[in-house]
Amino acid sequence: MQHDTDVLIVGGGSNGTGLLRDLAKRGVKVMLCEKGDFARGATGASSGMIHGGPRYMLNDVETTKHSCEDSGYIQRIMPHLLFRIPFLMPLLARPGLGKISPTLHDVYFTVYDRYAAMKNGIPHARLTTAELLAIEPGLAGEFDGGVTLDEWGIDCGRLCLLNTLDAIAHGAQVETYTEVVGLLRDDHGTVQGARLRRVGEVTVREVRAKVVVNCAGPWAAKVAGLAGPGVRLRPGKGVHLIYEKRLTNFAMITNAVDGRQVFIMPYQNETWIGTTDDDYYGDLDDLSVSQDEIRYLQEAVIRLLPRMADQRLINTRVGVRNTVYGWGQLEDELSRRYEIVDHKSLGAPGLFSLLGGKLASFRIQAQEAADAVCKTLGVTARCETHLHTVPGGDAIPEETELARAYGIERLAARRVIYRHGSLAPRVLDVGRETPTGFSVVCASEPTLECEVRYAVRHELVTHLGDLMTRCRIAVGACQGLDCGLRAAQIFAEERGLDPTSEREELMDLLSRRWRTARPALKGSQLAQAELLMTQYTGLWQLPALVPHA
Amino acid sequence: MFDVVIVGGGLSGTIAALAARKQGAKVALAARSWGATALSTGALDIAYTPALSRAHQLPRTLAEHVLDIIAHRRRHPYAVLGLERTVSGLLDGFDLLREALGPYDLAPPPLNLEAANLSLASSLGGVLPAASALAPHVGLEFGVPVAGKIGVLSIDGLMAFDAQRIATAISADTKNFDVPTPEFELLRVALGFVAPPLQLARTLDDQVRADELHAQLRGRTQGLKALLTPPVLGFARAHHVRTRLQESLGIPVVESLAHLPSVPGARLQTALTASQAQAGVTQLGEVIGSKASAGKLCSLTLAGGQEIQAGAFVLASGRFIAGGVGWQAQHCREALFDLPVASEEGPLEADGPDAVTRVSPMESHPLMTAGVVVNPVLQPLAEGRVAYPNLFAAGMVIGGFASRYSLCADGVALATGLLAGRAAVNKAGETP
Repeated sequence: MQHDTDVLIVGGGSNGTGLLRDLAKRGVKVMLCEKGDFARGATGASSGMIHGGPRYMLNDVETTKHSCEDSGYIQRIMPHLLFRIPFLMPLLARPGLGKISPTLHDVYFTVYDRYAAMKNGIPHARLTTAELLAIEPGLAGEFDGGVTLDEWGIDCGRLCLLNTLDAIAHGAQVETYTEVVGLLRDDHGTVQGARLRRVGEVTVREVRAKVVVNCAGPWAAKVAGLAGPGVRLRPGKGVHLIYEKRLTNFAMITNAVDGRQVFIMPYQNETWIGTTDDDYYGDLDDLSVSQDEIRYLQEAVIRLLPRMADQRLINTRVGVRNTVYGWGQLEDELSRRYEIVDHKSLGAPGLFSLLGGKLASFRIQAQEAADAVCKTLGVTARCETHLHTVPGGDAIPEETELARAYGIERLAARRVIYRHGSLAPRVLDVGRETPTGFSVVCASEPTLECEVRYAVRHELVTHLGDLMTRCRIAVGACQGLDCGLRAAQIFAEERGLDPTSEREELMDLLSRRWRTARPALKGSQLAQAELLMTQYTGLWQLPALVPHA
Repeated sequence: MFDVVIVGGGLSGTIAALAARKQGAKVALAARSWGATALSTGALDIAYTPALSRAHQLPRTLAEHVLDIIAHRRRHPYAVLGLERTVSGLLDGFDLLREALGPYDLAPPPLNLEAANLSLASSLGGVLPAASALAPHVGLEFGVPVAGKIGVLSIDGLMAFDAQRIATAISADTKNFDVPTPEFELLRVALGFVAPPLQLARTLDDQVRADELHAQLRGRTQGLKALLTPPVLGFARAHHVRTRLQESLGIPVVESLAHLPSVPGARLQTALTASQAQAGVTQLGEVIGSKASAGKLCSLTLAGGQEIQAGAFVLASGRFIAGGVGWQAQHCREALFDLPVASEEGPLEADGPDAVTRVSPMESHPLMTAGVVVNPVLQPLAEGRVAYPNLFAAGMVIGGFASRYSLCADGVALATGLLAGRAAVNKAGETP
């Protein structure tokens, strides 16, 4: 029988793109389809931390070890894309416990240091209360000092993109905005490929593959369900609140009203607060944030940092974890372990599902899944994903030199380097094509026009909204007010779009932003919303009103 | 002691102040900073209802649009005022605006409610309906057949203004009007630098830089009927820059309406602020509190602690952009007097913003129409009763209509500003 590909991967998150890269580098003919854009599910809604998970040491130390070990590899293969997030854990004084609490934490993190070393983490330090308040002024409460720890952050959207671009360089095929609507089975139930449909189209086409791997994250049960029952997740909804700028010196760990840990974290140009973790039974394609969730997170943080009450909340992020099923535990106690299911035992040979797991160990998860797939295919090539860098990761250009060479601000140079590593000069060369090529597109992120053009040309962009995860268009404080319009114009120029299609693309981008921002529209963010309406509806008549009467 | 003190220095506050001065009152105006008026596109929106336009083939007059609003939207300020007061407020308010802007060469042509909306070019591309516009933006209309070629100017280095896109979008939109597609010729000039609109406009105030623009255009506009330009032709000397260009090219030069950051908005607000001083209005800073006694408002407290007494007050503090209305913690309220607010659908309960907004950003959202509720003489209400007998409201702090994008915000500002200013003078005169 003719096969279009050896392996078809379903899902463009960190698991799917990680596996794509792994298999492509082993020389396997592989294809990936994703029903939206990269990192639209659990990966994109995560805190973006390649963290070791000290919390998991309590009930799942293997996950901590795995995460730390794999974090070390991830740093080596995409060094430009990681940034250090120094954490503070202020220890609230507990009457009766005396000095036991700090000592207990000290011991706990001494154990964690052993794992953290695998990911180049700086060992923890114990702080006195005076030291704690000196480095993070504005903390409220009675403290017994604090503890520091060291974690890493990553840009999740670019992580998935770079995996994919590397895979394409090794022969992989990728189709975004393409959904699996059915599986091809023979008389014995063997899975032999899938039926795919482009989003917005009616025609369904068949792709024949020797193996199909389901990496659909929280949708994995649905995709696996196309072959029959047997895969079960326990989806946990997680919400983050996004504030307009970096508001603290350190990321901090504090507790919510129910004792759960909540982070406040400077992340890129914003501050993130999160997360919640609640069993979710609703529609995975229709997530929304409730007033309760917002207040639960705000309450936790304002108790530690009262000044957060006046800060501008610009948007929320909501996603669903693809947690492996377990009965009888609280959401937080569920293991973050991963599982590779061979559906042979479920009557559907040829189908695998990669379930659960953590961003911080996506590479090793992909490696193990690829091993299982290769065994089935009879491929003996070994994993190489830890040996070579992704595109741009081989060297990091010097920011001052780059800024001088192209006549741009150092900060802009730094951000291009962050996102593109050694490919930064290639991105900046595009700037020489237009008079405004080096102009900054947005007031809240120094993204340059040339970077937008480069992304539209070379970074698998289908829709304007995809630029959110390529170069942070409409992600920062302006939420698209400044940069949405410019990006739409550049996008339309590059693609030769007519004004109507350009308006539709911008409308789609703004709708995506609005959907999650809506529940948080309070305080000065309301002024921002009014500005946005004035700008786009008032001046551009989105959606088109009858122009004249 | 003043007769009338106005809170807010945008379009409605300025009109209220000028109306009160016209009646000989002693007037002060307290303004914190620029608000939504400074974001004006250059258009003056009075009434436009898409539903009415869709239901009829023929163009509808402004008066018909006003009537349509009154008939269908009972919480809209026009409906609260009633037809007669709305129309007289609009006409007199518009005249006052023309008078105020005259010295700054921004005055719009006289208002005719029996005429249809104009269709003007937007800087984003496409054609917008507007009752009228500031002087630099009138003179080129696309709802009627346009004889002859129109030049569209783009300036290298000025981002987000693309002549090609504007020409294409206007052509697409004119198909809806059943008029021949206008002919365009695209003209590019390069001034040798990249600048945001306000900076470019200020640069062109400089005669030398404006001359560079002239020099590059000279001889290239033959056979053109008019030149459509980005809304950046000068800031303080805008009139001078544009008329010189018109004279040297021999054709009308018209600026498109502007998106943000808006040069026309900044010009308008600057002129309004100057006109307040010109009319003898005492200009004060931010108001942070108020004092009342026996149910009447006595004084406002300025940020510096100073207390300003007056016989009557006008609240023209705007909506969310200016901070006249806000949503802190669980309540959306008017900010200075803590008055309750309502949307066009009714009182705004504390259900959270998602309960009063819709899923698509460009639908109409009740939340975006939130503001104080007024009676027909523009006194704000609290718990169904007049909050203070000597307090009146004007402009966007009044609820029941969407902010600028509802294409009636300037009309509301003019009508309520004028009527509130007059009512305040009368009220101040009543008191011993």
